[in-house]
Amino acid sequence: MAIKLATSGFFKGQPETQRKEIWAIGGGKGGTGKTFLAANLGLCLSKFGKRVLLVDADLGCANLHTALGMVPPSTTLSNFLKGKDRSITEVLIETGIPNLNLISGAQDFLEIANPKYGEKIRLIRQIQELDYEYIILDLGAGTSFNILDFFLISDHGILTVLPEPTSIENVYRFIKSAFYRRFKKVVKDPQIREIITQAMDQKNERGIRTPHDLIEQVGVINPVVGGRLQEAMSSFTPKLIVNQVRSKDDIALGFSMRSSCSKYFGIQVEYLGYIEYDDFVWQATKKKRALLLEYPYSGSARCLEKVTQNLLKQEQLGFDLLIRR
Amino acid sequence: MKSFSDENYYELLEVTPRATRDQIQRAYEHAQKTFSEDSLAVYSLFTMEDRKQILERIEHAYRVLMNESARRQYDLEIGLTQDKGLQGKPFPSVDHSEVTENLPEPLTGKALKNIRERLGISLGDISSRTRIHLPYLEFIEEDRHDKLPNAVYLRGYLTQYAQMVGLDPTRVVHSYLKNCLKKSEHG
Repeated sequence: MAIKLATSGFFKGQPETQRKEIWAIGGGKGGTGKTFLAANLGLCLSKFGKRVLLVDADLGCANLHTALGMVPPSTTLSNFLKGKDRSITEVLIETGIPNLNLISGAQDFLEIANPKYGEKIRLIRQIQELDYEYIILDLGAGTSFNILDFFLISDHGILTVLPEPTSIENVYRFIKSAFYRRFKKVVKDPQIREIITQAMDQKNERGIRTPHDLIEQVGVINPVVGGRLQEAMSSFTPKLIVNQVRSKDDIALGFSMRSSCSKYFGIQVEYLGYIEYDDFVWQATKKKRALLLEYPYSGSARCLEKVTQNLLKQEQLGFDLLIRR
Repeated sequence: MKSFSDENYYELLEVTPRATRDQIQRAYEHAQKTFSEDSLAVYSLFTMEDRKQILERIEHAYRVLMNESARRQYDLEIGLTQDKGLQGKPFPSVDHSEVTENLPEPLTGKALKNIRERLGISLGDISSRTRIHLPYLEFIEEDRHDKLPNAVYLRGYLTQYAQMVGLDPTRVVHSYLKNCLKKSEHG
């Protein structure tokens, strides 16, 4: 059984013909397979005949080109971010794979790694005007504003998690940081913004433990703003991919995280699928080759195709999957 | 957005109000696992007390939703009036204690058929309520084990069959599969 996915994002209101889908891949912790997924989802989409642009938005630590088996390109996102009048078309790179282009990430100093909000919007706007059907953003590790903003701007924010405590904790932290960031964008009132800041601190004096508490407290002060937060909350539907699964319990983790997020945060996480743990991934990575090019018939490659299909069909895993296995 | 303590039993178990007993059973097992002490998915979000409270509510929800009359009562309480349809609705209560006590061992398909017919339930009815294809139900009752799907599916079918005629699913699955095994060893 498959369940329809919800879409969120800034550009929802655009006419169908102009619409491009932006998928952003994040997840808090490093080493959970964000770059691996970005490269291979991109390859998979291009194989399905879609026009795809991969954007390495891991500013400062870019290596999406390596995952695709390319040498470090000389033109990167920093050329675009440095020159205000530059066009995004100047930094587009051919990957040698039909239907797949790349914008490589900046590999330089901190100021580039933290562009201002306006610059990010300029980047996204220009990317939107390019002739692609799918744009995949590879976000870096962590929960910096930079990463959260790209995640929130996208149509589908995708989180990768490993079936390990540290990775799961970081995904939850990421989710929390993302919607508090979103809350702040919809609220102007300084008093309420202050309450949101306090709520970020788990040991806050107001006794706000969950987003439920926060929305309730805000609702008492200003019901209109409370309603707006409620709305911002319900339209926030991050997608989840469990990477490196080795057991049925690992697969079930996605469902358990979905249940926990619904009960704790009150948000609907959508479970897109899982990628099997596979030595072929390790071998492809060591060879600096993309899995889908090197081992297209491996188990993990098949999982990737399934996940891509789910994203294309806007479906998530149905619960009965567990008993069918 | 609701806090978990405001969720109704269906929301709590993440099933629809039309859920079959089998679906409720699975959702319950999943919820129990999700909120268990060693679950990786919950420890960093919920306090120990929250977790225990959720587990208690889940347990309670399960007991109510698996009991036909308690479920009907609960549906009325929460104002659930829409027709839930035939699918998943258990059969009107009959006192099954007698048949459950005297469940033959090992259990053959023929014995199951006898019990079902005594209770006046047709195979077609079971098929439409469980969505199990009629031929499979017939194969179960005719003990045509070669025609039956693999054990994983068969367990599911037997569980639903047992629930529909009000027998203890665990005992039916165990006993029926034991008979299958015995037959395959002998012939």
